[in-house]
Amino acid sequence: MKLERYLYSGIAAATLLFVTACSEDYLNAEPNAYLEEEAVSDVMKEDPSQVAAYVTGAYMDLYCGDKYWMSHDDFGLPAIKLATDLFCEDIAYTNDAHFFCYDYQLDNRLGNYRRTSSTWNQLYSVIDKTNTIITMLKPTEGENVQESAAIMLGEAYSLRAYCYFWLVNLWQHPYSVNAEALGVPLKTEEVYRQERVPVGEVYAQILEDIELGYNYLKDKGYHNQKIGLSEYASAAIYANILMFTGDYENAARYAEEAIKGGSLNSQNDMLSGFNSLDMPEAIWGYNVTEETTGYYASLFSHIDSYMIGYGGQVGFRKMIASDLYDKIADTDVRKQWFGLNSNNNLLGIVYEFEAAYGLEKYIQNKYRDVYLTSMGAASPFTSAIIYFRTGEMYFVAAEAYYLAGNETRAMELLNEIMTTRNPEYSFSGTGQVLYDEICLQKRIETWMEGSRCLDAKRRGETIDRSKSSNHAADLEHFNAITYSAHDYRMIYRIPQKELENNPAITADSDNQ
Amino acid sequence: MTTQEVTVRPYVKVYMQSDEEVLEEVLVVAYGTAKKASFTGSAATVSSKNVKKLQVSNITKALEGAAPGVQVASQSGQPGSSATIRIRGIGSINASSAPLYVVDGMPYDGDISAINPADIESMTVLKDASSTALYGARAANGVIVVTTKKGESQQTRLSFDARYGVNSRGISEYDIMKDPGEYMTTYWSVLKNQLGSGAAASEALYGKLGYNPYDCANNAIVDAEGNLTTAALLYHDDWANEAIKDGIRQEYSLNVQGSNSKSSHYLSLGYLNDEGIIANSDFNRLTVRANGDYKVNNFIKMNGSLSYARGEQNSQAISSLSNYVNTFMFTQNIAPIYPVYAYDATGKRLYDENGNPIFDFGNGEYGARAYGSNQNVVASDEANQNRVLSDNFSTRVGLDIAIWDGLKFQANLGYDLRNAMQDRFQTPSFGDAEQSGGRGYKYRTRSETYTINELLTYNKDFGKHHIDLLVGHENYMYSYRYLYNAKTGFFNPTIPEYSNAITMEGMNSYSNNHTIESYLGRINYDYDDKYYLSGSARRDGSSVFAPDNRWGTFWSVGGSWRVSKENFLRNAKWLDNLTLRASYGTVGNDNIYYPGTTTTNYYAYKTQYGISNSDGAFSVARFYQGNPDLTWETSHNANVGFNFAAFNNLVNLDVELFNKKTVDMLYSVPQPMSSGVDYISENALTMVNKGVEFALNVNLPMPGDLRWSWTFTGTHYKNMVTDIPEDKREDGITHGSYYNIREGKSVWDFYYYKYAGVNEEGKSTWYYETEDADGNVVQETTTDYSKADKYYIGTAIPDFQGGISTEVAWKGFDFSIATNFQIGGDIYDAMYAGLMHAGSSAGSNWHRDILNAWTPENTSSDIPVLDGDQNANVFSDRFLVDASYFNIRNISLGYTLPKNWTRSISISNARVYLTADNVALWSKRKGLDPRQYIQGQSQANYSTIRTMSIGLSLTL
Repeated sequence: MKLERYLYSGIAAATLLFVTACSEDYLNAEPNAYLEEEAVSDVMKEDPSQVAAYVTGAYMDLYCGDKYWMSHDDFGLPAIKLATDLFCEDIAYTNDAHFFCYDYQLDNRLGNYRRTSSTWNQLYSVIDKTNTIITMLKPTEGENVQESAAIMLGEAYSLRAYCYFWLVNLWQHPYSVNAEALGVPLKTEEVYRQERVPVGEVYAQILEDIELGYNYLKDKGYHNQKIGLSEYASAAIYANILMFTGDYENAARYAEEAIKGGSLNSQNDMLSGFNSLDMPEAIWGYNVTEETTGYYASLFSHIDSYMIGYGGQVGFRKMIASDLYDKIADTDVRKQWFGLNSNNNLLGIVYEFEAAYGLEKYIQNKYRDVYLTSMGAASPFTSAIIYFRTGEMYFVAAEAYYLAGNETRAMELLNEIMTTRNPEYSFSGTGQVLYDEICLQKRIETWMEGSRCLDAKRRGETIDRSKSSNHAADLEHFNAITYSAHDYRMIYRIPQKELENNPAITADSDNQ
Repeated sequence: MTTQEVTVRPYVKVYMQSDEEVLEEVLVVAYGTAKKASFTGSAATVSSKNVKKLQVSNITKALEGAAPGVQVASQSGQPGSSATIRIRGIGSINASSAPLYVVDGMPYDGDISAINPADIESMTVLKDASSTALYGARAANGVIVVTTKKGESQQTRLSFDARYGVNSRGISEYDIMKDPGEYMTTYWSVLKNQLGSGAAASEALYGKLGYNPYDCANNAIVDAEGNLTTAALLYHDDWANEAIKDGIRQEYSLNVQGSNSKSSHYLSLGYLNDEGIIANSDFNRLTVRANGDYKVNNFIKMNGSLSYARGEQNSQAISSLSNYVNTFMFTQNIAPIYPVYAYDATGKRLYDENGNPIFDFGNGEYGARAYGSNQNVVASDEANQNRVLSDNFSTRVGLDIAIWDGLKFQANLGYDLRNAMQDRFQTPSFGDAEQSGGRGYKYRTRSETYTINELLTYNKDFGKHHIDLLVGHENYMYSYRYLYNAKTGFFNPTIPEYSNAITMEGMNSYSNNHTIESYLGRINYDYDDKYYLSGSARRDGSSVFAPDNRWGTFWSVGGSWRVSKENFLRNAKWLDNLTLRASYGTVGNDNIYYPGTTTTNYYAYKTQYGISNSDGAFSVARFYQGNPDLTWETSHNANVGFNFAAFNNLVNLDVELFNKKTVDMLYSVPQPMSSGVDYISENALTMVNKGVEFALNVNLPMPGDLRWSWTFTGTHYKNMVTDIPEDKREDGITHGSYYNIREGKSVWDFYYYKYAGVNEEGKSTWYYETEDADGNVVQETTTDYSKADKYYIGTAIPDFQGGISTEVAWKGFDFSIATNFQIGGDIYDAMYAGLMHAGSSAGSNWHRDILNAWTPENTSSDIPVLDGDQNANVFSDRFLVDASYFNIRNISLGYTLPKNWTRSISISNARVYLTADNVALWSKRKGLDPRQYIQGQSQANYSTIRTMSIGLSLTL
């Protein structure tokens, strides 16, 4: 009897031990929703060209803000550009309680607001990705770099320069104001300076990066359509940086290099909706798909006046300021960027508010979602994002030539591009008049493309919204009517999370 | 135990029936049972009797107010949804604070809503280390042990219960504006303040709001003096009445059970259909369960259970204040001037060709709403779907071999499986997915858990000494498989299947695995039924941590002393029981979340990369920075308490003091964002929850057949962070925007602006600190909230939580009331704050408190002037409200028909009853249900449902 018991217990225990006996392996689990480090690096060791997936990761992050996406109004670089454009006078935004309204009122700058932390976080996140790429591909002294690696290095260095360029200009006044002023922390593949590194030193890094980046990309043309940062895009970034450091001769040179990346738009191209990288002038951008669109949380949702998004059907429309509108010649194709156009209003959106206040002529047609321009063939909010186009670079070159003392070339470039916009255009003014004309036409040309704020800061302009009839200036609390581009409200405060966790930045070193 | 008479046969098996009123209550504890009076740990039991009374579609909700030390937040009234449960305070921050569920002896990872409340014999909440340490891994936040019914009666017995009732909205709306005229004149005064003249306001009113429900010109709705037009109102729809309707709830259960000397069996069938109170939010459940115990011979026993539940839950996206398809938000936030349905110019409702009313989406077709354009919750609740169809299978098998003289070998297997098909569909007819031609999402998930253990037990008396030993080994494995896809472009707007759609939008799949291996041991010793000692130890290895850091050792010691058994109290006949007990021990937690989420990270030590599709190219980016140094979060629990029962159980009191200290907390330590890494998970903080809890039961001496008893339970605890990383001590760590983790403060203390009322112009002001000429810090006020300072303005942790219930029985009648309540704690009433906008949200409704806003004539108000300032109602203590409440949880009235009537038709017991759940709630603000928001911020969740039912129970 007892024997029997031992037997049964023995069999049961042995069976169980056999079934459940564990090696240490039992407690090793491998993730697949996300891949662990080795699963990624093994692929890249096998095929180094797969490092390109990191570069693509950086582009994707730049476009959408990756995991730092917090709300419907932060969607990467396009949101940064829209928010900063709204700091200035050219976009009228009459609604006072919706996404981007606080950017428009210069009141989205505190450390505990989403805007400051999403912008900062996102740019440093892209920088972190470029650091990873540089670490992986950077040649040792005297080592030759393969062409594919050279291109990726060129993309990474250029992108890092571009991100620091935005950072330093959003958290401090321009280089020309005070190169000693506190800038931003600097992290590269080699160093991590946690303190607010002075503006001049940040620029030293930016210049070193863009020089390296441009040279890696030089003569490589479009290596990856217009979604890869090419020599033209790198030149465009370079030119914009040099405008800030005052090296106008070289700025003009790089702007002209960037111009080589495309041909000028036809009138039809100008009215095509700015939603495709097929635009002849486009030199760098991002192709959005159904999988990558933020849908309502996307640029075209916020700006297209005829779509179902916030800027359209929901009713929070971004319009051109009336004074800028009035300065566009009637024969200028860009005038057609504005004014309610029933041919575009395919969804039958009602503009009751605009009608009631006589604002219909300021409704924008420049950006139209590909869903509408393709008559529904493309999915909603899958419009491509254009970061740089040659049209802008003509004006950068013209301004640089002017500032470098070459008025003739400045006027040539101005007339060259402007005659494609307005066949009747011919400008022969000189001196300040020429400069003012270049600046004005650039404001019209790059309306809502994200360059206005940086230009105003660089030139130290006074932003004047009082000249327009359609700014929301009638609201009592609206406290941003006439102000300097160097107003304290034009730069952000350090995000609270950075302040709390970065021992090298204290409240004393924060902006006003 | 209740007395049972059994015929003496070989192998007589006497089953202990749970009976609350008898002292020797048996608790189901870790790997066994224990007599309550001798138990060294802390546990509270909710019996089947109390579960049965409630009309809960999810058993977690049955714990509300029922057990001391257990905080239950019924976050959503959605039928089938689980309550959030916290045992003895908040265990963790970036790791789970949820208790471990153990069903019939094995950890249960399945869906709690798959368990039929009618199958439950008891639920025991294990609270201290002495009771939970043997569950070591994952027991840091307490354990809820669910035990299902077994066959117990000598004859085969069949029971049937049916109840049928009506659901209605349990919590009313806020006191919002319902009258279009009141809204119009109030918004007019906003415009008057903004534009400077009444005439300009009258002109601008229609343009800002987009609708004119009156039979008058658009500029004449309100005249220049602020008087509402006298013209007729053309239409006036009540959004809440249209969207929120009474529903039906019906529940049936049937079981048969019995036992003999060789075996016992229990078989049950259950059906529930709960319609909820808004369209497409119903829950439907069918359950089958079979439990059996078999005696193979005089030394081998086997037991097992099989259960299956088919669950079908429809729900709406009721999640936040920013989601326009949240019915409970939308119906209160939309101004009463906007109609649900389309009307023509004369105010006649418009109908489609099928005679159905046409919905108005405010998108310009019939009018352009300033609020929620292209949204209509009445329409979208009907048209949108989110259906989860699940198959839940659960089994337990146990083998028990008596080897020799008190030595036993046991092996147990537990397996839980849940297959869920979730189908979401957004209609192409209107709303968010209109331009995409409708959008369908399908999720297919399968989660499985195996637990297998082998135990050796030794149980022996040596004279007055009794010893009980246990050693064992256990394997746990959880695996989860996920598949997702989405399609847009639906041909027929009402068929949500992919066969009807053409555009692929997304697809994803992955799987997760989690394993734990454990070695465990326990020793229980008692002497003469007077002195009890217990000790346990458990060693767990978890796959969440790196090989060098994955093993954790957890242990406990406990003792109890039955003072009433001592000789010196022998003569104290009035004293039924007096037990003192104390315990100390540790338990672990490996359920760490990805930073900023509540998604478990099963590979927390590994750096993880996400792969995604960027227009046809691979995109790789780091998603999570791993930390190989991570190890178990450990909770050190101390518990002392006593049980006192006297005067023939007239009074029964349990009191316990606890101190739970969580060290090496799994915490996502925020990094400087400039580093490119946002968080690193570390074992970083120390937090303490200490408090007191009690349960008092009084059986009033009553004449004749009358029985009357009262139960009063209560909990008070304090939560405090006691250690944070050195570099963060000064400023603390901000979390959840409005809270700050700092030493000496609670994790849910609000740290934000302090409202200072309005200034002489009626503008909001807040406090800030500045230095006066002498360098003294003084408090000033500012109208610029960006200059305001942050203060500790309140806490979401309540001072006291409790429950009072009473039961009366007389002859065949029984009557009971169960209530629960909370005293203290604050809640940030975000919903109210939104309803108190100063006119900045045109078309968005107001709370009627706004009528008392500051005006030059009404200067005593602290509600700021209505001038459209969007900063007027920013987050501050102005909107903190006392979270105290009193809730009548359930009222039941039953009548058991006299046995001599029913016996004649072979019915041994028949009871008819009326029962009502969530009968009434009193809180500081009408419309606010503090129970739903355990973290202290309101967000218009699905209202608690009031259900009133009539029922019949029969036993054959």
